[in-house]
Parts: sequence; structure tokens; C-alpha cells
Amino acid sequence: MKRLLNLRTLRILLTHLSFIILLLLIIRSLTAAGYWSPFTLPLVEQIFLEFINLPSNTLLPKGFTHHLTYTLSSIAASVAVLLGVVFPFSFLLSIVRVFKQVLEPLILSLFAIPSIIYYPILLLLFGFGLEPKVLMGIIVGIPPVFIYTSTGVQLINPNYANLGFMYTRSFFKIFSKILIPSTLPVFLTGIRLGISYCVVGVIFAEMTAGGDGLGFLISWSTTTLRIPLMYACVLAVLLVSAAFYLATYMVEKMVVGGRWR
Amino acid sequence: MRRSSVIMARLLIFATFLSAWQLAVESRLVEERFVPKPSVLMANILEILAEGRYIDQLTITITNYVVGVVFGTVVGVSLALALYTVKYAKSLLTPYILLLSVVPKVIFFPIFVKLFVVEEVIKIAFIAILYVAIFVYLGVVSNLDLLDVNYLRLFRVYTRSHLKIFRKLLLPTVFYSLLANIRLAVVFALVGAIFADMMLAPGVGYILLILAYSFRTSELYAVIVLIAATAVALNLFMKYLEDWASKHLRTEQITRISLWFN
Repeated sequence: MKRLLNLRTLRILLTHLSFIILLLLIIRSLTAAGYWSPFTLPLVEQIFLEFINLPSNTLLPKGFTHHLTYTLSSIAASVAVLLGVVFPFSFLLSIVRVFKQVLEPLILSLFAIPSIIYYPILLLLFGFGLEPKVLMGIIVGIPPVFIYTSTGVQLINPNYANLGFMYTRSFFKIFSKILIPSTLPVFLTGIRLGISYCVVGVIFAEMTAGGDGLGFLISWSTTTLRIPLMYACVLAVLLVSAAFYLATYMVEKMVVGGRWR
Repeated sequence: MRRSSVIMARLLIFATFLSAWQLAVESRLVEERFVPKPSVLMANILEILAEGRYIDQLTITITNYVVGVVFGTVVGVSLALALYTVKYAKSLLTPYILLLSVVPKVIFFPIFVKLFVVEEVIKIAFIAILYVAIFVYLGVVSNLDLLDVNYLRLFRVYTRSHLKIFRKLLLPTVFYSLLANIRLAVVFALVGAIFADMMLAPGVGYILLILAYSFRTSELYAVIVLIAATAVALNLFMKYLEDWASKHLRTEQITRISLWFN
């Protein structure tokens, strides 16, 4: 059975690999045949060469490693605040009925507003440094965390909590043994989405203003007309965000799957 | 808590927030250069509305946005319905579309600039493809996956016409979820529209950056409030449309399908 599953996974992987190769070959031959200008879409091998050479590219201002570290640290700081401040705050707001009734609709109505309009205010207040990027990541990441936390708390069966209170008066025990495990899958989905939104916020902030980060590299290579480099940077950001998404997805699967429970 | 008390509490919170803001600026706890007084902000909003300043920029953004949403919805639904009939293509392409929905879409903007060249086309294509079509596609596909295969089999007993199956079964199936998906996409599409403006003038996003860079703070906050009001109005409109459709169209659709069977 296991062997069959492995063969199936291998077949899926091979199908996707051949699909990507075929797609790249078509694009490459269309570029080579002059269907579009190499200025619009360069040859595929040029992009890959540029991508492989990114860490050693001396043309990049401050070097690729600096920008990669900058982006990763901005995302890490945003995620830390999301997990350490936003999530507990959302949880508290959702379990205290008065807060929930009064504040939740106000907060939810804020989420209908596109969060990127706050970025010019952040630029005004904090300049072009790391702070506005981290804050932008947090602002963009708040809605999913808040919504899913609130939904998770709604799903708690009050009978379980009441039963728990018959056995213990310790709120911490009720919290750790009943509230959190019963709503963990929903919370984790919110956190996973929050983290991927965080990445979006940080990259947007880097692209719009400032001189650091992978987002800045995309803007810079576009304005200086280094088109293969631009595509290589887009590929790098794609990989970073896909890695974040996959990592959080796997953690979610492991926790919900019961390995860490 | 009673409903009236909840409303009173909300108003009280809002009034406290505004008073604290006004006091903080007046007592120079916060510099007016960065955060204007609420009274000045209100005056500025009224002034902008009375003069009709930036309305042309807002019109450009909203036009691109509406065209993008319409075009993206058509693309998303068509793609989902087309791929629904070719299962292999669906299973092959859906992971990539799913991946596109979680990565920062803003990174593709320069590629759209290179591909579409003309400013309006770039913005519309960017909004339509990346912010609307993807969400609509994923929503419609998940809804179609929930469709009972027996319905499809039953329809095939009565007709071989793909068009009839499409019109009488698939389209009504996706219709209700479609409105919910469009409502979700409407919020994201506005993010795309404003970002596109920030990168490529003209538009209200460009005005936001210009106002921030030239330290015209109260005007900047006023424009932000106006955009926020527009976004909330659009969301409420979509919610109203969704409620209206779920109230009025369901019975009509069921009647139509049963009539067709008879």
C-alpha cells in the first residue's frame, strides 16, 4: 500500500515536472522565434542563470544576501508580533462577551478597507526604515488571525468548559486542556493565512518605498531595465513565500494530525 | 447586553477615540505635522467633497477596478467551468492557481507592465487576473466539487447537450457561491487597484503617495478616509446584492429547473 502511495506521489510529481518543462520550452521557443520581445520576456535560460547568480551578483546594491536577510527579518518580526500580541488579544476579545458584542463588528468593518492605504501614514510616521515594513506586515496579517480566532472561539462547546469547571477551578487548566485543543485547527488556519498575508504586506512595503529587501530589488531591476534580473527576483520572492506557506502548512498538519498533541 | 446598550457603547468608544486623538494633538503629545486634528480632518474632507478635488483620480481608480472585477469574474467562471469538464487539466492547473493565491501578487506587477504596455490595460489585467479571477476560480471550483454527481447523471439521461447542462445545472450551482466569492474578491481587488495606482500614475493610490511625500498630512488622511468610505460602501453593496439574490432567486431557480424537467 505504502509502495503504491509512493508510486502515485512520484507519478504526480513527474506529471507536474513535465508540465513545467513543457511550458518553459514553449515560452522559450516563442521568445526565440520573436513572438514577443526579449525585453518583455527574456529567454528562460537567461532568467535561470540570473537566478543562480543572484547571491554572487556584484551589480546589486548592497548584495543579494543583505536584501534576503532584510526581508526575512521583517517577516519574522511581523510574525512574532502576530503570534505574541495579535493572537492573544483576538482570543481575549473573542471570549469576553462584552468586548465581542461591542468591538467585534467595529473591527470587522475595518477589514473591508484595503489595508495598503495605511502605508503612506506609516511612511510619514516612521520613514523608510524597517519599522513601516514590519508594521505593514502586521496590519495586513491581522484580519485572518482575528477572524479565525473569533470563529474558533464560537465553535467551543460550552458544555465541555462547564464539565471542565466541575473537575477544576483552574482557568489555566481549562484553557490548556479544553479551549485550546478543541479550537486548534481553526486557530492554526488563521495563523497560517496571517503569516502568508504578512509576507504579502512586507513585500508590498518594500516594493513601494525604501532601499532594502527583495521587494525593492524587483522595483529596482524594473526601473533600471534589468529584465532577466527582475524575473529572477520575482522567482526568489515566489520561493520565499511558498516556503513560508509550506512550512506553516506542514506545522498545521503535524499539530492537527495529533503528533504534537 | 441589549442592542441599544451595545450601540451606545460603540458610540461612546468612537467619541472617546476622537476626543483622545484631538487632545493628544492639541497637547502636542503627537505632532500635528504627522497626525492632524480630527476637527481639521473633518473640515478637509468636507472641503475635498465640496470642491470635487481628486474626484477625477478616484473615478479613474474605480473605473479600472469595476472593469477589472467584471472581466476577472468572467475569466474566473469561464476557466472553472471549462476545467470542470476536463478533469485532468483541472487537477494539473489547480495547484498552481492555489499557489498564486497565497504568494504576494504585487511582485507580478512589473511583468504585467512589460506584457501589456498600455497603462489602463496593465491595471485592469492586473486586477482582473490576479485579484479577481483566481478567487472566483477557486470558489467556483470548490462549489462545483460539492455538486452531487447524481444530478449530472440525471441531466445526462435527459439530454446530451453540454450547453443545456451548463445553463440548467452548472450555472445555477455556481451562482450563489459566486456572489460570496465576488464579495471577497471585491476587497482584494481594491488592494490591487490602489497598488497599481501607486506604481503607475494616475489614480488615487498615486495621490496617496504624493500627499505623503509632500507632507500634506491632513489631505492625506482625508483621502484615506474617503477611500475607506468607498470600500465600505462597495462591501455593503455586495452584501446587499448577495442577500437579495439568496432571498429572491432561489425559489425561481428551483421552479425553473423543475419546469424544465416536466
